[in-house]
Amino acid sequence: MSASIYLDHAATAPLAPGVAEVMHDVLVGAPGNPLSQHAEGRAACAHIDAAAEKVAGLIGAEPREIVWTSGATESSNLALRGVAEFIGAGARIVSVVTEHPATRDTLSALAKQGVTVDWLEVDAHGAIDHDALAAAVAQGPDLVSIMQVNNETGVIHDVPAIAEQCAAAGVALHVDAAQSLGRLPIDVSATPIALMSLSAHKIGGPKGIGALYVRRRAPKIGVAAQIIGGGQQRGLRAGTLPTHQIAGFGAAAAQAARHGIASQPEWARLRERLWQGMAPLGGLLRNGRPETAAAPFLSVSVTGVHGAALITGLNEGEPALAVSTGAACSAAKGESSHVVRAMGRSPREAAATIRFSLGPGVDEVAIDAAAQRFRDEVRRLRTLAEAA
Amino acid sequence: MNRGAADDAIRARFLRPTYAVDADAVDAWPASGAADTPGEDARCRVFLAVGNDGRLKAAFAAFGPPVVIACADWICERVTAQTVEITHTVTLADVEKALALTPTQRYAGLLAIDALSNAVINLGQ
Repeated sequence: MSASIYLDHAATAPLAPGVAEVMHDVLVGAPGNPLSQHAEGRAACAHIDAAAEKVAGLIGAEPREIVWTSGATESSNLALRGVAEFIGAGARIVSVVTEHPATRDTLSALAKQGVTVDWLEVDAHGAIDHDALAAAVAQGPDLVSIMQVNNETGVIHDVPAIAEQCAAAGVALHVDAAQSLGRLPIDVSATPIALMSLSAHKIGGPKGIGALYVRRRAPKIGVAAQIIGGGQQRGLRAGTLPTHQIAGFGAAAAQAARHGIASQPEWARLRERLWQGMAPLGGLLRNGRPETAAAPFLSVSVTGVHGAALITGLNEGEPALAVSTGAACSAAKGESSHVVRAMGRSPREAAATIRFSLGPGVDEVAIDAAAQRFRDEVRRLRTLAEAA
Repeated sequence: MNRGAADDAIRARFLRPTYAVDADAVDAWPASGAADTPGEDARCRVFLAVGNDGRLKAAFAAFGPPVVIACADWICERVTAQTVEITHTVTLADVEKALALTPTQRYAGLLAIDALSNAVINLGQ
């Protein structure tokens, strides 16, 4: 990473130690097509089987329940479009207004094709109302789709409770776990989840590889393939499997299994240190409650500064802070984060919202430097704006 | 100027503007003029003073994306140490050319021009 202080692990995490070496070894040493019957093919297939064991193990699934995709976005597309197509006319899906665009945009597209989509609102803390969910589930939808950890705020939805609620009503549940994999305990053997989107590059794996968990026992739901032409992966997703990418995902999953959950208290401690270092500025609005946000996430809306100026100043100043904003930063055009606006922030506040996300390699020195840099940049921009 | 160089120039002025007003000394400026662009959630104020030698001093304050701050800084640089007459000749085209503004950035140049014009009017008064 070229940035001086990297606090954007929710966008992508640096490769975990050893992952690149595993990928190189597989790319060079196992060139066969994993579906081929010859020795080279069997060797490649063995790497895929090993990776499936590791990825499945991270969520309590069986290896055969893992369908490899290009990433969580494709996984969610496969889940949502696949269910809608499988159900056919009259399909009905429930989701939440603060979902990732992979879900929101897909469902919006499906709505134009005749699928009924019911959107649940969130409160000021980003939480859904479980009574509203119960009412929506009572309408008899085919699927509920919800993210476990919000990608902008880190707000955690109580997936085990939601899964029980859905299961009791006989409704299948799709979980977008792109931001929760390796950060929160997920056990599909104990939680009635039908589908789950997973991503490699959020946990130190390579970009371009993800998976959809497809439950093979009740409560399960039919999914129609969206990429066809070869019948790979039990007909659910055609295409020759990228052996080295999958092996990289497996290597990252193995490390996440060892260190992921265990390291969360440290990220929470450092996150609070970052917040304490920034808070003296005043005019900062914290999005989501720390006790219900995933440990690496800190989302802050800053008053008195323009969003585009703030993100550019942080990203380009010295030392550079590699952080993200929720969305394009024109408050007046309404392009600011739909997530924090749904939580009640004004368009201008939403546009000036910064997401810090911590991960391996971040320590107290980096946190203190980031807090100092943030304070300096906000003061500079507020001073520039004050007399305007 | 190619796009990359233009972006670098805008970024450099945004990160290290030379003519940002000292917020604690705003009252010392005899005149200022402001303009805003609600559609871009941006506003700009140009401060002007005439020295004993008849030459202008200029400074700015601005709220907006980096290009707004860069344009405000450029226009202050353009008029500083010039006579008041220069302010009547600075055009949007000058700002566009100097910073290689794209069509979507043109409003920032206009914002700076308008703020300057209003400051000159107030300076005359």
